Amino acid sequence: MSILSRIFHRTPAYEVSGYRTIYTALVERLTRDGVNVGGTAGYPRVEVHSIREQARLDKEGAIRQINLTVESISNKSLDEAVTMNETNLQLLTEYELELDDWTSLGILADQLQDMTETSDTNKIIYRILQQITVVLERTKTDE
Amino acid sequence: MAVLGNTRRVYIVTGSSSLTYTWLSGEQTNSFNRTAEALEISDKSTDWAQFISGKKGATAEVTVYTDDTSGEPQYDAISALHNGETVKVFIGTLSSDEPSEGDFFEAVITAISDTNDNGAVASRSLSLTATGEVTHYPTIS
Repeated sequence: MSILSRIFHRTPAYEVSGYRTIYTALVERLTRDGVNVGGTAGYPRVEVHSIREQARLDKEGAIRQINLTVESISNKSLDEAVTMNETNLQLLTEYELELDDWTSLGILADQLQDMTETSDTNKIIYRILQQITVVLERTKTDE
Repeated sequence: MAVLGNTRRVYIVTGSSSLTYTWLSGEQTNSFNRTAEALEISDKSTDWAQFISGKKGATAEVTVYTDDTSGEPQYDAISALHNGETVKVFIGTLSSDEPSEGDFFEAVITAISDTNDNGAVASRSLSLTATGEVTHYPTIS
């Protein structure tokens, strides 16, 4: 921390959530050829959804924990959906996420669930829902 | 008037003539406990025990997310414990960089406990015992 920031000790409370930055960063990181990422139509595709940001963990709001689901959807096979999920996890963890104004302290793969259902056109859809926890720290700036 | 706990924070105070109040960043919660001994002075004139106020004291507990950056307040607190030194602390609210409401005291750090749970941000609890007088703001007459 610089001398100036030690004198001006009151760092601003960070009221803005990490929602926007984490969604954008995840979609960007997961994007690759052959898979529709972020959209809601077409196969195979990956959706980032059910983003839940928990209450501020510290008095400044500088630490945020975000739970979300990265869903891999295939109309061919469960194996394709599972393979997409493993690729997702590899992409998310091989390099640090690039976020505006936030730093990722870690990405944790939590629960995983598979679902097989029938679409409106009687096609079988294979879904892998991967729960992810991301912990963000607001990037400090010298005042 | 009631206030949110977010606004009543723990600051490590440095300097002598000009004081600098540095928030213990990553603070989640703190508690401050004031005590006074009850000295019994009962005599046979009554069946009811009688007391006067004796020695006063105070303790504080604060939980933060760990930050071991050199020069930051948590590092200073750990250094104080290792070196057997006291720290100056203010718990409360500041206005224009000066105490507005709260308590200022010098303290011995009696414990610093780290908790490193899987899947959670590492946290640290500090226990402090005030040595000497506690100065309350607004000033008590």
